[in-house]
This record gives sequence, C-alpha cells and structure tokens, in this order.
Amino acid sequence: MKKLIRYAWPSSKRYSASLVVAVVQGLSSVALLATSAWLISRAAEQPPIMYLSIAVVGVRTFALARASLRYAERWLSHDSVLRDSGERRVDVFAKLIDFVPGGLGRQSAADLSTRVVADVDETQNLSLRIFSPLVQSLSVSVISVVFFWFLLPDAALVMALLLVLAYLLALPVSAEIAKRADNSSASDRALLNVATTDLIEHFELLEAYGWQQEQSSKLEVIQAKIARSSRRQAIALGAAQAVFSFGAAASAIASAVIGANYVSDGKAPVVMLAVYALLPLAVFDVASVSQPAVGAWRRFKGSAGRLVELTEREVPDELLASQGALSLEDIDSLELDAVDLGYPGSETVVKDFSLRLSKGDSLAITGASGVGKSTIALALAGLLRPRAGALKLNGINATSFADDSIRLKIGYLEQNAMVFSTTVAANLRVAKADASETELIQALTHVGLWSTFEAREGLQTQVGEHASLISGGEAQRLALARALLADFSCIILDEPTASVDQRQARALVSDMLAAAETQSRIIVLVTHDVELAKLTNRRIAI
Amino acid sequence: MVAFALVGTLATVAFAWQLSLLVVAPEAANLWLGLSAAAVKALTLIGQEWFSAIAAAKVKQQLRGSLLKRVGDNKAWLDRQSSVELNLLLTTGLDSLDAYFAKFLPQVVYTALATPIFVFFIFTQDWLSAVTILITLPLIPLFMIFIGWATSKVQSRQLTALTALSQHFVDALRGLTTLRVFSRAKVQLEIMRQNSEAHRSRTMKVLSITFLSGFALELIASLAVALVAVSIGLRLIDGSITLAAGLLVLILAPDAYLPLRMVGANFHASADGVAAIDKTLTLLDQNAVDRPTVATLVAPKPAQLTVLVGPSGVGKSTTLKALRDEDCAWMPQRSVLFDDTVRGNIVGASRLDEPCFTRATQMAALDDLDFDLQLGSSFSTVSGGQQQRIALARVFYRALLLDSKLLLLDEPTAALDEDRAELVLRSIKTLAAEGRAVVAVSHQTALIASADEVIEVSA
Repeated sequence: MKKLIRYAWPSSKRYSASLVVAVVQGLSSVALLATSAWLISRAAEQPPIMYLSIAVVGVRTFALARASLRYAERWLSHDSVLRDSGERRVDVFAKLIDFVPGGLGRQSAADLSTRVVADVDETQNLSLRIFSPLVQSLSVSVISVVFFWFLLPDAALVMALLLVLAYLLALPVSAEIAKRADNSSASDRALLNVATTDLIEHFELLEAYGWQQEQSSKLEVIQAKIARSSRRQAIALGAAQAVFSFGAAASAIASAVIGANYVSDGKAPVVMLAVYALLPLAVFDVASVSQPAVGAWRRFKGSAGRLVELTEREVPDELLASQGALSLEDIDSLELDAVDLGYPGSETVVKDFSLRLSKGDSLAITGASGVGKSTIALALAGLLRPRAGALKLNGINATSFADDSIRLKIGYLEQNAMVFSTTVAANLRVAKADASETELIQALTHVGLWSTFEAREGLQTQVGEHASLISGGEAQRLALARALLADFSCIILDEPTASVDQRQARALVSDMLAAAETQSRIIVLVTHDVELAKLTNRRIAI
Repeated sequence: MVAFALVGTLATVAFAWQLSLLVVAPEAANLWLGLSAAAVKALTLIGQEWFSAIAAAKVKQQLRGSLLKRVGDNKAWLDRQSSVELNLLLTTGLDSLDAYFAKFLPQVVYTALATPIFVFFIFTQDWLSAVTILITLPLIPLFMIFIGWATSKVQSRQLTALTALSQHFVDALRGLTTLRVFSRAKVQLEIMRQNSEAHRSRTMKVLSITFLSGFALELIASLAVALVAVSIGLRLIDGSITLAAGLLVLILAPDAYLPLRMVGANFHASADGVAAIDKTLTLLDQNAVDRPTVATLVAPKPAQLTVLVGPSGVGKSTTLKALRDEDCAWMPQRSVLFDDTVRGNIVGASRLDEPCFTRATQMAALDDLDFDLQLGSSFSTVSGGQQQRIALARVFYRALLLDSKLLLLDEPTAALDEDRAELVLRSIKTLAAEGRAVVAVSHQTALIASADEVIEVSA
C-alpha cells in the first residue's frame, strides 16, 4: 500500500496547498451554518442592530469563502495531478522500450497499451477522489469536535461518537460494495462483453449454424445476474448515505437536548442553543464526502498495482540489450553460432541452431507454425539474446557492440507491422527523419505503392486509425517501404505478406529483393509460403 | 419512486420542524418525533437508491434487447453498422446509461417533487424567505445553461485534443517495436514530454472555465442561505417573525437548494449516457436497405469440388454466401472463435456425436490441440493456423452430423502449413466423393489444381 501511494503521490507543492484550502473550505461550510444560527437566536432577543453587524459580515464572508475556496481547491489539485500524469506516461513508455518485441509474450500490444493508458489515468484519482475528500472530511470532523468541546463538552462527545460510528459503518459498507462490484460484476461484465461480441460479430455464423437462440439466452442470463448485483450494490450505497443522514439528525437532537440542560443549569447562554443544534448538521454534511473515497481506492489499487509491477519489472536476460563499446559500421557477415533460443519465462524453442549469412545473401526460412521461425528472426535482429551460443556480427559477439549502432544497421519488420495514424510521409520518416520527398517517392515506387497514393493526396495521404483508410496489403507495403528507406545493411522480414494475396505477395517480394540486391543487403524472409521461398537465393526449412 | 421522494421530503420537513421546536421550547415528544422522522428519511434514501437501480437495469435491458432483436431480424441492417461501434454501444455505451438512469433522472424526479414542498413549507413560516428562494432558485439552471453554452465550444475542442493525446500515446505504445527498430523511441519520449506539458496548460485553461459552473452553483446556494439568514435576523429584531419559524426556515433553506444542485452535479456525469441513448435511438431508426447480390451464377454440382477464383474484392465471398441454404455447412473467410473450449467451438449448440467429432477433427488436421483448452477472448493462445483448423473442424462436423448436401468453404487452407493443407485438401475431396457438392473460394494453387471445375468470378 505504501508503495502504491508513493508511486502515485503528487509531487507538486500545489497539491498540499489544495489540501489546506479544502479543509478551510469545509470549515467555512460549518461556520456559515453556525454563524447563521447564532445571528437568528441573538436577533430574537431584539438587541440594537449594531450588535448583529459582525455576525452579518461573518455570514456573508463564510458564504463567499465556501464557494470560492472550492474553486481554488479544484484548480490547484487538478493542476498538480495533470503535471504528474504526463510524467507517468513518459516513464511507462520508457520502461516498455526494453520489453519489445520479445517480452510481451503473446499478449497483444493493443490490449496492453489500452490498459496502460487507462491505468495511468486512474492513478490521478489518488489525489482527486481519495486523499482530498478524506483529508477534508476527517480534518473538519476533528477540528469541529475540538471546537465544540469548548462550547458543550457532552454534546461534543456525542457528536464525536456518532461520527466515529458513521465512519466505521459507512466506509466499510462502501468498501464492501466496491469489492463486490469488482469481483462479481466486473467478471460478469466481461462475460457480457464477450457474449455480446460473439453474438454481433459472428452473427452470420451463428445464424448459418442455427445457434443464435442459445447465444441470446446466454446473454439474458448474464444480464439478469448483473442486474441482481447492481440492486444489492444500490441498497448498500443507500445504507451508507442513510448512516450519515441519521447520524447527523441524532447528533443534532442530542446537542439540542444537552444544550437545553446546560442552559437551564445556567452553564450556557440561551442564545447558543440554536448553534448547538445546527452545528452537527453542517459537520456531518462535510463528513459524508468521504464515502466514495473507499470505492475509488479499490479501483486505484488495481491500476497503480499494475503500473508499479511494470516499473519494477526487471528486464529478463533474453531481452538485455547489448552494452558493448564497439560501433557497428557495416555488416559483412551475420551468424547464429549453435544457439538455444526461447522467450523469457518459457521453454527453449530452438536448440543448437547455426546459420551464417554473408553480404548479398537472401535467405528464406520456412516451416510449420510454432516451430520457432519468428524466434530465429528476432535473434538474428539482435532483439532476443541466445540462451546458449551467440549472435556474431562480422565474426564478433554481438554483445560487444553498442545496441544503438546495431539498431542502425539491422532492420526488423514484424508480422502486421505498425502503421501510425498519421500521413504516409510521417510514417516513412520514422525510418529516416530527414528524407527528401524524392527519396520517399522512390521508396514507395519500389514497393509498387506510389501510383496508389499519387492518385489520392500523395505523400500527405492519411492512413487513418489502425490504418483503417488504406487496405491491409497497402499497410504492409508501406511498412516495407519504410524498412527499405532506412540504410539497413540487413533486413529481417517476418511474414511480410500475411495480408496480401499470393499473386501480389510474389510481385512484392521479388521487387523488394531486387531493390535490396542493388545495395548488396542481407535479406532474411520468414514465411510459411513455400512458393515465396523460391524467390530467394538460399532456403532453409525448420 | 414518487412515494419514496414524497415520504423522504416530508420526513425532512418534519425533522427540521421538531429540531427548531426542540431549540425554542424543548419537550420529550419533540425528541422522539425528530428521531423517528430522521429514521424514516434514512430509510427512504435506501429505497430511492434501490428503486433507481432497478429502473436503470430495466431500461438498459430493454434497449439492449431491442438492438439485438434488430440484429436478429435484419441482417442487411447489421451489414451497414460498424460491428466495433455496435459492440461498444451494447457494452460500455449502455453502461454509461447508469449515470443517467440511476442518478440523473431520479434526481430530476426528486427535485420536481421535493423543491416545491420545501418552498411551500418555508412559505407557511415566512413568505419573504420563500420569495427570496423562488427568485434565486432559477438562477442555478440559468447559470448552468449560460456557462455550459459559453464553455461547450472550448470543451469540445479540448475533448478532441485529449482524444488526440491519448490516441497518440496508444499509437506510440502499439508501435513501440517499430520505434525501437528505427531508433526513434528516445525521440518519441521527448515529443511525448512536450505534448503532455502543452496539454496540461491547455486543459487548465479549460478547467478554469468549467469549474466556474460548480462555483456558480455553490455561490448561489450559499449566498441565498446567507441572504435568508440575515433577512430573518433583521425581522426578528422588530418581532415580525418568531424564532421557531426563523430556525425552521434556516434549516430547510439549504435543503431547498440541494436537489437542484445535485441535478447540476449529475448532469455532467450523465452526458455520456445521453449520447449513448441518442446513438441507440438513431441506430434503431435506420431502415435497412438490401444489398444487391453479385450476379455471378454458380450452380453447385453433387460430388464435385468447384473452386471460385478471382482478384480480391470482386465478390467471391458474397457469391459463396448467396449459395447458402438451411442445412448447408459454411465456413466464413475470417476464422470465427467463441469464448468456449476447443470442443465447444466445434460442436457449438448442436448435439455432441463422438464418432462425427473424432472424424471431423482428424479431417481438419486438428492434431496439436487439447479439446478441453479454453480459448480466451483474444484467442492469443492459438495460432492463426490452429484457428483455421478449428473452423474447419466445425464445418466438417456440421457436414457430417447433418449429412449436408452442400459444403461452402471460404479460403479454407490460406493459413495452413504445407503438410496440413494437403491433408485438409484430401478431406475436402473425400467429402465431395461421398456425394456432397463442395464450393470453395481460394487463392491456393494446390486447391485450385485439384478442382473439378474452376469458375473465374468477375465484377
């Protein structure tokens, strides 16, 4: 718990200022009602009007303070929180760099990124929805009890007891609601999502197989279950509110009764009776803002826990980047020397494997799915360290080179490579920031894509979110053009033609091989398609 | 709902009345009456929450039901909707209705009932305070509309910027491998840092205005209470009002404003829900237009393998779908997997017939999977080839179980390795040889080569 709080703790002094403001704001609410009550009681004694003027000013001041301090508090806390969440995003991103592409396992990058973004947003709630209301409600409660103690000790004691009781009853109830909401309905909701997705996306199939009725009734059962649990949650939520509401009333009545006794004993002025009766109402009102904090804590805990786990995760041996001092100028030979390969935390997929490539070689690696073709591709790219044996560049162990210099010479194109949601030009310039327009057009021409984009908006054509504005084949070619644009001495392509039909795939691969040959690059092509493998000058089957 | 609101309001008034009596002229009866009123009020709070939850669940179920019925009744309608959008709407979209139906609407109902009652009771005690409240109350919605109107433009611009920022972040995370391979990750970090800072200062400018609406709500409510208190105080001096009446008004005045303030607070939270309802109703209103079918005529012949070929996008899959009849076994191009075990995916809601199942899985070369393996929602546990073989086993199982006369396969071997593709091809030939008409769409040379008839589909 300490760790989570430390992780999400606001770093700015503005946040501490916002806490002070919140407490003063809460006290203003209490003071507004107490002063008003005094004003009315005193007025009932019909004194000259000047005796009331201070109270009149007080009432107006507290009313103004209550509203404007609330504004100040929200401004200060949001400002400090926004500063931190920007930093947190950058940290998460920096941390993840070391883990791609081998370290995420089969968990999709899309799932991971959506979750990380939501988690970072959720960490803001520690300050906004948990700590601020708790500090405000507890501080105002304590200060008011102490203040009340000087006026009417017995009533203060009753109020303190009832406040403690309300916190003890309502907060655990809220916690329990949040827990149930998390445990049962989160998983039910997930089930509902999956069942709905199945029904909509696969409707044609369900209908063709006559299965849609079963799927619909499955959905209804889950819905009924969710409705039941949300009813239970609502009752608990109402109960928590009821506890504060009744506590306020009981405390007010107790104070009025105790106050009346004090007055009849001559130990308290009669004018204070209204203040005694109304003060607890205002205090409980402020205290009740603490309720949602417990539920928010539960959601926060999940998100912050995942992020802390991520930032503390150590880079596994297989993913350690080379930290040598040598700089790689060019690649004459690329060699896997008797390597054992496997992803972090899973078993060795490839055992005692050797392979040597020299300048100008083009090699196809074929084999059934799951035999380790992609694993070899990653190892050749220097993105997965062998468990035994070594990757050698120009005959020297790759670990002797600086990772940055390796990255400049060995290119790697993953299956379904990422195309960013921006223009064609910006996507290409990821490879070479200062590339001229002529260079960009040339790269697009090599992969047979320039004519397509020329007909649209040229280099400024938008590719859309998840490359939705261009076809799957076009996205694949764009990624290839990008790899060709960078001055890699060696390019490793993992299933580069997955979403292109066979005829196009053939044309694409031969174009690319021709383009690479003129620059005497090393090309490695991983594919399940034996036909494509015939285009390269060397082949191995795993 | 109305009953709960009514009882709750009257209990609040009764409590305030007993408390003010208790201050002015204490009697034991006031103590017990006050406590009972408070207890009744507390109970109605539970009742209101409970009832709101029931109502929200009911409305959600109805909306979801009618959308799904729409899906069932009209396939052409489904074709025109984005399935991602529809799915989002049916799940998280409808969940955002909770804020609207469980919080906002009940609060509106409560306000409509409670506020007049509070004002009425205040009026019976002190008409001047009632008038003060009646004049200031409308300022709350007025200010909200005014400020909302002033900020809506800035806010929607900000929302776009915010979406762009998180889209950019998501994009960068998804493309992290690409960025690393091209040595761009560190540059990206710097860009991200700058973006965040720019975003913060822009957001704070917008928030300064947005918070104004909250400020206005608080200010009107607390100033009005101050106004009422001071005015009562001054009139107490000349004796034109009694202390008990003054206290009652003072206790009830914040209650008179509270419901409307809560409406304001819930209004923003329910904005998503309103958008979701809007969208649902729009979707429900759209009338479907039947899609024209592709004219290419294919007549499936018993005991023959017909292969449809042609460039992508020409309508091969559509042609194949047009051939479907009730008992046919059809396999769509994209492998469909359900959140179930491997066996559940193959058998589905049909009855389990062991011999058919064994034969179907053998024919689909499904030799490397445990049939009890649970497939997660992202299906990352199985490879593309395995997904395709599960789909093949499903279509074969149906063909064997129902003894279908027609087998329709869309790209059945595209993701398979050579050996397994060959085995599946042999199975397809066997099923045809048993007298079935088999029609397949394919780009694979081996499949095309073994066809009894090849039909070139053209636009």
